[in-house]
Amino acid sequence: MVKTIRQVGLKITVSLLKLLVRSPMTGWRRSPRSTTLKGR
Amino acid sequence: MSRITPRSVVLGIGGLLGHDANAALVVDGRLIASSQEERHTRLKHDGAFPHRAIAECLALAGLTPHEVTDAVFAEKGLQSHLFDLTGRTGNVFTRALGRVLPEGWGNLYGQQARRLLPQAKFHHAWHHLSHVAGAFHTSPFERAAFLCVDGKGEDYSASAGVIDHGELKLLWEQPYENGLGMFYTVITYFLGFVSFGSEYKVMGLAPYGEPRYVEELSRLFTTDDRGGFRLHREIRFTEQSIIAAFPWVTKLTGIAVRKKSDSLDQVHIDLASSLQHIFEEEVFKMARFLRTETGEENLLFCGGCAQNCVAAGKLRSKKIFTAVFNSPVGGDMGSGLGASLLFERERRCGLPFKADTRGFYLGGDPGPVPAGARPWQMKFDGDVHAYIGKQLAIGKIVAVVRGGMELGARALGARSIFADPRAPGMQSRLNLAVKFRESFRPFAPAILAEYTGEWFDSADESDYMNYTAYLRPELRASLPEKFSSLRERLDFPRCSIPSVIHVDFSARLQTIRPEVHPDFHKFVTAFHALTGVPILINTSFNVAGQPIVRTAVEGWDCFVNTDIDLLVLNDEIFRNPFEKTREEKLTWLKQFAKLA
Repeated sequence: MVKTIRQVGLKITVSLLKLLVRSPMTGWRRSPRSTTLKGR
Repeated sequence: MSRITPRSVVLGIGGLLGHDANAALVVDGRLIASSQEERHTRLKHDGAFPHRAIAECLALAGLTPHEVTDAVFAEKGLQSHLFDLTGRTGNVFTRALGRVLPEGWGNLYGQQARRLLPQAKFHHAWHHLSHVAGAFHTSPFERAAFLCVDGKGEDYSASAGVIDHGELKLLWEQPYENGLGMFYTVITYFLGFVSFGSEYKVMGLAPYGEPRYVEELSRLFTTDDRGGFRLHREIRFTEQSIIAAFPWVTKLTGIAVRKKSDSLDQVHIDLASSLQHIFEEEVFKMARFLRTETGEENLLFCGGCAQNCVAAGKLRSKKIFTAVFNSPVGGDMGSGLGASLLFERERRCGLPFKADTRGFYLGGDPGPVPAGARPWQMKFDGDVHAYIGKQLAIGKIVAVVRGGMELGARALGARSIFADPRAPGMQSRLNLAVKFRESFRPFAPAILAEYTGEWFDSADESDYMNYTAYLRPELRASLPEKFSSLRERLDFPRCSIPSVIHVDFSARLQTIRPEVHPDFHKFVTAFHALTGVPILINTSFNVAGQPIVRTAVEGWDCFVNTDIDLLVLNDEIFRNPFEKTREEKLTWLKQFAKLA
């Protein structure tokens, strides 16, 4: 039961995330990543 | 007797993305060992936690897991899964989430690693930076631009920037689910090559065809003059997602999907040729963009797509950059090595260092000869290299298991099969009776480095079989206008060393130098002394679907199930009993068939 609720919750969350966000358009984009292991 | 504990014992661990698990060990700044889990578990591309590979690395260093001070994962598991889950990459929201949540979450290896390495601090590297550090610190360059292209980093497929000993600038990236690597993989599967990592088969097939379907394939993506590439459909790195894209490919190109069991027709071969053509053009555009933007003279080409040695060879000969270094372990099998070097780089705070790769013979020795082999041991006079040189010259096929095992996808002479490249029909014989794989697959020539320019259009080094070159025009036979079949084209005597020269006269070279390949150099030299040809066929010692053999026991097992004539185990030579029937061999082969 708990497992089913979790799965449904996860699916809803993922669907909401997909609605909220879109991927950027084609091509190279500037990378914002830190290049150190300590940084994020 | 007490032993001084080293200050820094760094273990790089790769494979979190679910395949090619591996480990590498750097002790006090010195690269000691590196190993792939598949070589131990005998499951090709095994992505399970690499505890056997770790154990081998530690054993070679004489250390215990408790002495590991730092463990560096070559990927960020959470970020990778998060982007897979949402199917959205590179946007503000998911990236912010990826930054806020701890890096350790989603690390499939985390629990086992913590249990195994109680004293270690854990670090997580961006996947492409592991590739870049692995390439740079094993390259001859002091500074370079880098181009890393693969199927999937955490949420990107290509990245580019500049690196020297003190500076690592990651400047640009492209999202993964629409990337160039994904495109190559989808069409590879579409062509019926449905096992993981089969892209190199399509690369090998491409020269048999003409790029007649470039226009049709171009309907699947948009691109720009900087190599900014994007598929018109988002596809994830799962078999399910890739297969679901087939109807879309058919709809846009008008070409039907090929099943694995279907015959390989000209349309498929031409499709492979078109795919390779597009791939090369995109890589060249990326390189030109990078050259213009960074002004650098050297280029590091790394990531899984850099294993495409045809593109790498052409990239080098195009001279977009003065020099190109294509990392031999630029794919995921070297990610742990790269992660450990990335950590070492930070530890040194900009002080220059290069890893001594010792020819990438970074694994353990073969171990003892199995007792069952003893009755078949041969007596021979003189030295093993001279004797094997003689046997090769009379057409024998020889397998070798000697010294430390090589890291990476290519056998570099320590776990190899050697044969005479002049022998007519040797390519088919090796493919069908030894390797049990597609007859079109070409073999690589291992050539004494000083003779490369006499045989090929480039005299540049290719120590690790990571570039292609073309046979010199004066050494080529004139070809008929047309061939009636693939078979006829394959068997046509196109030159004096047909087994290692592809139908378009290309070859994936391994240049042999005594300082890089001390043992292998002696075998080729012995063959050269007898025949006047400084070239041997070198192919990995395994059958289709099987990881390269690692130990003497595995070598013997593979040997007796194939038509290889002689086996060199350490310093001893054995002849094949040829006791197994064809049926017994095929039964043995079945265990690897799924992965072939």
